[in-house]
Amino acid sequence: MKLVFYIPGNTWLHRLYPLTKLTLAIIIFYIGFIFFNPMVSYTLSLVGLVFAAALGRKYLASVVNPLILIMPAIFAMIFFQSFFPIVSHPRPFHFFFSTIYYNGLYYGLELSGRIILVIIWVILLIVTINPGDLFTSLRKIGFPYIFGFMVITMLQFVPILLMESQMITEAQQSRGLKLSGFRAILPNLVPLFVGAWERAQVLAMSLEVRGMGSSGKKTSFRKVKVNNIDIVISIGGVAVAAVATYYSYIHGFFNMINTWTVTPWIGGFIAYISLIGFFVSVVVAISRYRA
Amino acid sequence: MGSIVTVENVWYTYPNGVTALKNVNLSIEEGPVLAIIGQNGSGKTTLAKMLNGLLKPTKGKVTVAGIDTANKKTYELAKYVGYAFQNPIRQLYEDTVEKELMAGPINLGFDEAEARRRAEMAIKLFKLEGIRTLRPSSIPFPLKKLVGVASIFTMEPKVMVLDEPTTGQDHLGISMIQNAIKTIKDMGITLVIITHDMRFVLESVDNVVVMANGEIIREGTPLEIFVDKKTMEVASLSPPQIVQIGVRLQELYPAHGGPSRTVDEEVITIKRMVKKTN
Repeated sequence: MKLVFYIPGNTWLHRLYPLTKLTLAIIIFYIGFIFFNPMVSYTLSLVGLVFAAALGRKYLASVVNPLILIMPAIFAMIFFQSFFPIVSHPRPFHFFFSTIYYNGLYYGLELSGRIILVIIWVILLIVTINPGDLFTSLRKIGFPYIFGFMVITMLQFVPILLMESQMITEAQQSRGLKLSGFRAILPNLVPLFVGAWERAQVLAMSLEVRGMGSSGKKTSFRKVKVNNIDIVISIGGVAVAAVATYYSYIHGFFNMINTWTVTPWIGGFIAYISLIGFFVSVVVAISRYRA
Repeated sequence: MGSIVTVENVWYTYPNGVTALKNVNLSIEEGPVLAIIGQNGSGKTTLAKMLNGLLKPTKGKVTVAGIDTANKKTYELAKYVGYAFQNPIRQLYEDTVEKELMAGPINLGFDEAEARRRAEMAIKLFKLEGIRTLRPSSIPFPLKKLVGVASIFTMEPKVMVLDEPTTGQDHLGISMIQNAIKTIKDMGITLVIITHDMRFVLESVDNVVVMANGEIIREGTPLEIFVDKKTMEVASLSPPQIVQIGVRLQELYPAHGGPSRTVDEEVITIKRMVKKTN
């Protein structure tokens, strides 16, 4: 399993000001959440996937791979809501020998759509925003320098610790340890913590001898600047959010939970496909996780 | 003595596409101490990790004590091949040195009495009496390294791979490692040492394998390798000073007879040469 990190590049999304991207993502989440309608969240998710595909293959892979890992939960959510809904007045219909509920199906699709939406857009942000640039731009609006520095340092530690963990596993296997169950925890965690502690101490001393903690205004070699396109996107995004708020208010959040009806064939098809999808995605997710 | 390890036509490509081993063939004889030398990135560690199954060949075959490593897990091969890592911190996790030395045998399924017997032997051999009750993470780095090697020794494998055993060691630490190597060799354990310490190779090793760009470019005794200028150049290595002096003296005075392994041997050679010329 691979974690998602910033991928250096010079795509149009990379070139946007970090706070513009953050604003765009917040607006997209806002629209996805004010409408209680799966079509909205799935459409915005699709837009995210199209963006990722337009950026390039590795960006699309960064978005799709984590999605594959959570697909079992997504399918399970749709399936369980369809057959065992928690909503009131679930409006049942019969499909062969089973009873399925329209409102449960709708609710399951809506919740899963929101989860997919958040995952896709958060990953798009992670892979296209350099953490250093993000904190430089946050500092410009008053974010404390030391907090940003701590977060960036912590993020830099993640891949190092992952690599370290892999080496510790190899070292312990070389000592005949089978590395399964509770017995495997101590031999792995102790060297990892000792190593991380020593690394942190050395880093702290190294920072001090290089003047970290000195008083005065901090400068930054990172240059991030707001372009016209950032202003256009930010204003456009806020305008879209305002229009969406108005329409959702007028149309009752586009909530069609009590009116949404498809033929029993289509409803049953979605519910059972989610059941099959659950088992298939579990197998796929396990093989991906092992890889 | 026969081969304890055979590496046949082995290729290895890392997931990132870097080919670290290219058609490597090697036969490690039971008994003599073998050093694998070469510059960083030459494939030494990748080859060593093949021996205990941490890495499986992309192509080719590695056998240890007649067992194909491709079908075995590392922990199953641990009783045949022990691997002391370059950074001992990754290996050590128990709360005392004594327990650390017992952990390997316990992992292999030996009872506590046997694990303790082996730990006592290692404590004597590596002179660890003074630190046996200390926490491994709290002892100085050179001692951590010794404990790391000792913790592999207690597993009594047929082959012990030592990754950079002299790095970070002072003179005393190196001589302790050298003494331990002699004893381990006498006990019938085959040693494979990955190192950049050419002086250590000259003084403590029987055979040398030189690697460059994922290939074995030369095999021989330390002196054979160190006087081979072309090999040393291709592998970006520099021979120990005592060898360089010997080579220069031989060039100037052919009666010198060639480089020696130690300062004492060199002094004897020079004395002999001076006597001859007088």
